[in-house]
Amino acid sequence: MDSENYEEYIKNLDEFAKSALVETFNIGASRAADALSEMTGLTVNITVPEIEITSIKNVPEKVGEDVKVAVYIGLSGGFDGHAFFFLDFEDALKMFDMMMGMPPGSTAEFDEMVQSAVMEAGNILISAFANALSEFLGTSINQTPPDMAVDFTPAILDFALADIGRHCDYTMLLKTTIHMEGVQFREHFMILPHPASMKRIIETLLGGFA
Amino acid sequence: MGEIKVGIGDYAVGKKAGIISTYGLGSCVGITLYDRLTKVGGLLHALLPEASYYGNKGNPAKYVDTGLQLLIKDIQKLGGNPRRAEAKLFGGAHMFSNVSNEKLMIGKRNVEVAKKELKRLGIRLVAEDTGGKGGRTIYLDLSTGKVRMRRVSNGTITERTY
Repeated sequence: MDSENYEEYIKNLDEFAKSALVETFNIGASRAADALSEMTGLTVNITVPEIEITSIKNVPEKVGEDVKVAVYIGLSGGFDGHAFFFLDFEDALKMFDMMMGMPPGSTAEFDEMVQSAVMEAGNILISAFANALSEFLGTSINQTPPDMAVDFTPAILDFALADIGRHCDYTMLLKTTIHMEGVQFREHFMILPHPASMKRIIETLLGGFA
Repeated sequence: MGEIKVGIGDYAVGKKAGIISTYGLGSCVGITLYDRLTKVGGLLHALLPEASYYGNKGNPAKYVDTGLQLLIKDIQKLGGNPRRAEAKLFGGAHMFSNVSNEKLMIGKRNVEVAKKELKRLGIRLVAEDTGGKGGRTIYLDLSTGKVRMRRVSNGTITERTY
């Protein structure tokens, strides 16, 4: 299948296919929540209520220009794509406090300790997510080591959008909500899959009915 | 006059008054052109270097070379002369050090191709803030041709005008 067809395929995904993707990402999200829960001893819930297909052109408008912290892991092999875990500063500090067993609001400075904890949380979440996806697709997924950036949200996503943009003018945005011990976080899991990998998930889930 | 926001793989032009901006350039490049005589200017936010390398697929404004051609055409429509125009170039960062795959190190190639294309078109590059690790947001002032740039370093936003 050439890239022209991906364009049409992604742009015209029907509700059925979208719900298949949402379902799959929810499996990954729940496994990611379990992994973080195991590490911290806290109750963690992550859900993916919906995905949105949007033109790459509109991504800055959709994600906003705020400066955020992001952990990035590149995925390849059975699933090609880019995984990000975003938090704003306030939530990063709050999450750090909870992970360290302190009341939220105890830490005020985004220092090296906080950065390292965020990196670890992002790493655990994305790895568990990728492992769930790998089992679901029955294929192995390679992961890069994690890295972190503090920057404008669209700037962080840029190189991944460039990678998707080689094939297609549209991409997928995931909406996620995360609760730790009942406290809601505004951060986002962002998985930007290659068009071919999106198609693969849909076809695996729908088992030939796609 | 208000502010025109340019998306990714997008461009806009204007004359005499107002601001054209684009948010969060990472590996992307933002190219501004401004003709001081007619006060016609424009901004391109390009995602990828050469259209032909990627088989000319999709939106032509997402590539540096075909995007520049579209921008120039619209500047001419407003009475601007691209040969008289000054170009300023921003972006082309490399955000994550764990990204070492050549095809994903797109920022550097975007900057190289932007410079090559401007030279080929005979447009002077008068200012540049490119490369490094950080993202950039730029605002072109159509009354002066000046470009205000915001950038994040060590978690705080700094500002500079070119």
